[in-house]
Amino acid sequence: MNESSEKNLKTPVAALDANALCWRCDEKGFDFATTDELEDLNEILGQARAMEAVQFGIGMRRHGYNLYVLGPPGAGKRTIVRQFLDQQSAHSPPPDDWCYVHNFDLPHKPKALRLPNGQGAQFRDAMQSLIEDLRTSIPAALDAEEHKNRVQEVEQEAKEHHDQAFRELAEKAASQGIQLVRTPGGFALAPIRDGEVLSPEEFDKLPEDEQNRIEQVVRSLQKELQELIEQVPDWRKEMRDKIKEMNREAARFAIGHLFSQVKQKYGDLPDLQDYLGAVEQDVIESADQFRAEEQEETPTLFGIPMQEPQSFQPYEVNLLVDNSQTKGAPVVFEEHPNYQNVLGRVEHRAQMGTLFTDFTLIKSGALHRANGGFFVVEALKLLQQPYAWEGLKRALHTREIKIESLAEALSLVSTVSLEPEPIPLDVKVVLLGERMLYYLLYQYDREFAELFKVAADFEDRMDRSPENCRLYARLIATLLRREKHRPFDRAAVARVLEHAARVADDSEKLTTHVRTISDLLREADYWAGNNGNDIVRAEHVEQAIEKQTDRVDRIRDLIQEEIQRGTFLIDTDGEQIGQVNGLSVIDLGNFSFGRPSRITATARLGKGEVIDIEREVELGGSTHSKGVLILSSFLAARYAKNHPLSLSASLVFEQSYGMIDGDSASVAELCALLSSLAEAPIKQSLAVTGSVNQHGHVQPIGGVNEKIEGFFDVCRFRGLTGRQGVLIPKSNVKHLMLRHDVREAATAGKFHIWPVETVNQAVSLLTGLPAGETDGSGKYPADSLNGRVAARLLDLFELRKSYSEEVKAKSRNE
Amino acid sequence: MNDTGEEIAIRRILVALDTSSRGLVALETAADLATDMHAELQGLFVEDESLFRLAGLPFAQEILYSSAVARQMDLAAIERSWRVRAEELRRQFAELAERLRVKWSFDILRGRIVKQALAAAADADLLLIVRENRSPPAPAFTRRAAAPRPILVIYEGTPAGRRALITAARLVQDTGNRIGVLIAACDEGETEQLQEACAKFLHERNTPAVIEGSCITSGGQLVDTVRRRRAKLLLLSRDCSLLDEATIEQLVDDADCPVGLVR
Repeated sequence: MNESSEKNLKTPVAALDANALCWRCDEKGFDFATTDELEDLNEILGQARAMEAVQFGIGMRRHGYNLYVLGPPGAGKRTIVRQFLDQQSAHSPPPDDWCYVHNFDLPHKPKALRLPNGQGAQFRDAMQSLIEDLRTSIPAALDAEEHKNRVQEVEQEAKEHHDQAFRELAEKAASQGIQLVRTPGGFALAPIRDGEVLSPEEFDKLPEDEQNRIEQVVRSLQKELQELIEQVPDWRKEMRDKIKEMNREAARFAIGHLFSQVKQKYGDLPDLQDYLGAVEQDVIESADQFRAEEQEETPTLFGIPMQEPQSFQPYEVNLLVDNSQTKGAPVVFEEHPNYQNVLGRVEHRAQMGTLFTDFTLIKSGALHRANGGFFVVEALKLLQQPYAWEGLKRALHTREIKIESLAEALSLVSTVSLEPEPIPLDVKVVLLGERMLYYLLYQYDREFAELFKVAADFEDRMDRSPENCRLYARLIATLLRREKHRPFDRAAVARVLEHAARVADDSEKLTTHVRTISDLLREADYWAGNNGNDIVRAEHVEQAIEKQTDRVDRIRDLIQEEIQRGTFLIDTDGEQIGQVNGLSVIDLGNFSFGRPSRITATARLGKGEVIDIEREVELGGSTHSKGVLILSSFLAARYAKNHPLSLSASLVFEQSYGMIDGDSASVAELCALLSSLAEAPIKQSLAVTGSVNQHGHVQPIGGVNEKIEGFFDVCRFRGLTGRQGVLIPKSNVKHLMLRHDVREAATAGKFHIWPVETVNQAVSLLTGLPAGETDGSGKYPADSLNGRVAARLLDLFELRKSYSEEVKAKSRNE
Repeated sequence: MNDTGEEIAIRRILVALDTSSRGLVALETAADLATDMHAELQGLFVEDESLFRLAGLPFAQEILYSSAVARQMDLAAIERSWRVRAEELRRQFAELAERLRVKWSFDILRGRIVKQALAAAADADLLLIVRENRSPPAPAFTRRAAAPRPILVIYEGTPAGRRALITAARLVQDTGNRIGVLIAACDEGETEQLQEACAKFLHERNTPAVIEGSCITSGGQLVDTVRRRRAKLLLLSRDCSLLDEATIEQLVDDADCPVGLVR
């Protein structure tokens, strides 16, 4: 602190001019009558840093350069990102199409086929048409009279060969007096006489030699019969092979030209050529089944089909991603980013209580649709879905999309499923989220920094320059037109800008929180309509702001009411020693307001400790405790440089039953303590806020507007006396955006705001006593407040010293 | 050729059967005819005596067609299977006949089926014989459904032969199916004459038919010819000159379908 500023500090503090309490937007600075005259704003306002980051992230086509767009909810991240990506994607070519098809070598691993943009649907339709042709061509070829005759010839030949073999055996047996007899399960060989099978009695009557001969012949024939029957399966297989080969020949001839047409169409795609070759080969191999499909009915149980006809299904095409209608690179926003919606899934079909699946049941995920473009997702929503975040990271790491069933991955089910071939991934992921989430992920997820290298940090506010005000007006006009609202006149625009500064908590800034402004515009439009106006005026904006507050300020009203009723003890007049009006802010999330609190201090002989009662009962946070400890240090440094601090002081927020944190009451606490020590009464018509350092300098605090308005409301209710006001840190003056009623009271001299830089200034204002400056020997004038404090502390030291000597003497005597 | 009342009078139908799986189909065919012609239906289940005799022999073994495994023949098991099958057929026969309001009876005999059937059919107008195949079953080579088989009539020009034609015509009535007619004659002239008469006869009854002439002079030729035709039902007159008991045995064995003898 230089000499001149030191001097300034010694001069009495003047109350702020009313104009300093709130920035008033001068509507005359606008050269339009209503927003209808303003052009749309195409640029992104106040987000130059974020836009540059987004532009860099999107332009950087390297691994890991994905984006995390940081900013509070409602800041317009999503709209801005969408707008930006739409512009960017329009210049990029639309990506290719992707299909899944059957893998004839490994049926459980469907193949992924890449087709030039727009050709996926054509290929699917071509295959469907081919299937329709196959459905008729193959049965027609196999049921052609010529083919059937050839097959029947082969069958007849086989049957004759079969019958001939048994007939020869029967004749051989007959020549030896044995008949081949049919039994329920097969054959038997029986000795006959006169065409009748010998009965056991007749057999017994035969000579033994004859019996033995018959038995031997029968056994020998039985052996031959067995050998004959054993050959039957071979004959059957031989026959089947012949017929199958004939069917193949017929099918090959019937379908060859059909496949040639399709192959010709996709001649420049080697993967498709390979696939079509595999399909053709499979069709030829399975030709007989297609005829069976034609002829056989699907088996049913109680009328429910037990199995769907499947013969042609393997040749279908599952068009996973169809970009035929996509203009430019796709921009995909996923609103419900669970694992399956992001990475795709394999569905199942229930049949008779059993689950079946095939490649046609593979469904795309958002990443498939965004492949070749941009995938935008809310970070929090993604993190809330089990395994979705892990799945996305895995896909980005491996640069491919692999569809895995979550249940299988977790071993929850063990049914046979599919392992579709992974699809190469080239996507730019844009995560939208709050700052805290970004820093948490950065801190705790090692992969995050590697995969999301670009942070686009959205500003909460922007400079309130004249140029920015004009641009802001155009932003308002753009938002109004987008939502088809009534036009705003320039006074209404000015009022919106003032509110934007208030939301930013800074008279030199404007908020960039688009949702807040959009809500205000919407509601002002409503009130204008309600009042029958075609143009929204400042009064409607004012009304919208008031109604917004009215809807959420129940708690504030309750507290104010209890203060007025004397339940919460706050004085706004008179003087009290060791008692000062402090100010705190209660934040309800969507609304915050100031509440005056009585802070009291007591001092007595002690060992130099300042007791923070809030801390003792665990109702004070660590920042608050820090503030109180600074007081202790300030006291010792200023008043007890050459002797121990011999007091015991207590500080308390009266009637506070909840948690208190922050150091914004430390000036108030110090003033209460100094008042107590100097026995100098404090004016209760004043309230004070600000934090203090060890040297007695007052530092800025948050929520200055709410705090002032909180005390003002109490005073206004009791009647403004002209003596009332609030002491604030001087460094907070630029943050003042007070309500119009406060400004008006200040203009009328009924309420004052004093900017203070030091504790001396604050205590002087509060007590009306000069603070006092040290002379050459380091002593304060005796009648100054500082002199009274120093004297009191010295007294306490002397007391302590004499008391200590008494104790020592007493102990010596004992 | 006139369709006189005498020619079409079939008042009694005898179905002789054994454990053959085709027995029920034959019963249904007979029941349809019986309803249509107001005939009485008689079922005769014949337990094959050959098997009974064979089972008693010490070396008797059954070679299973499905596995080529040899196993001892069990007489008790054979008798038990006969009883079960006969009882099943009787029940189905009774249900069928009562549903169609046909007068019926069902008997069980043991012996050789053809012999027993011919003996029992002395006063039957139509005798249907169904026996378990003596020849092994044709292997199933393909999954294709077998081509539909026609009703085959052997026609010599006799009144009984005409009744066989009428019976066949009744069975395909309203089905759109054609019957097959095999003209059995000694010379071409006679064949041609019979073929012409038969065609006219069937045309008058709106019965589509494929009529073939064939020079058949012996029972053996008849059996060979029928075997190749693969019919669904074979109908011929009982007084056919080519038939004797041995030929009927052969036909029943080799025709691979029920054999119907019309009186």
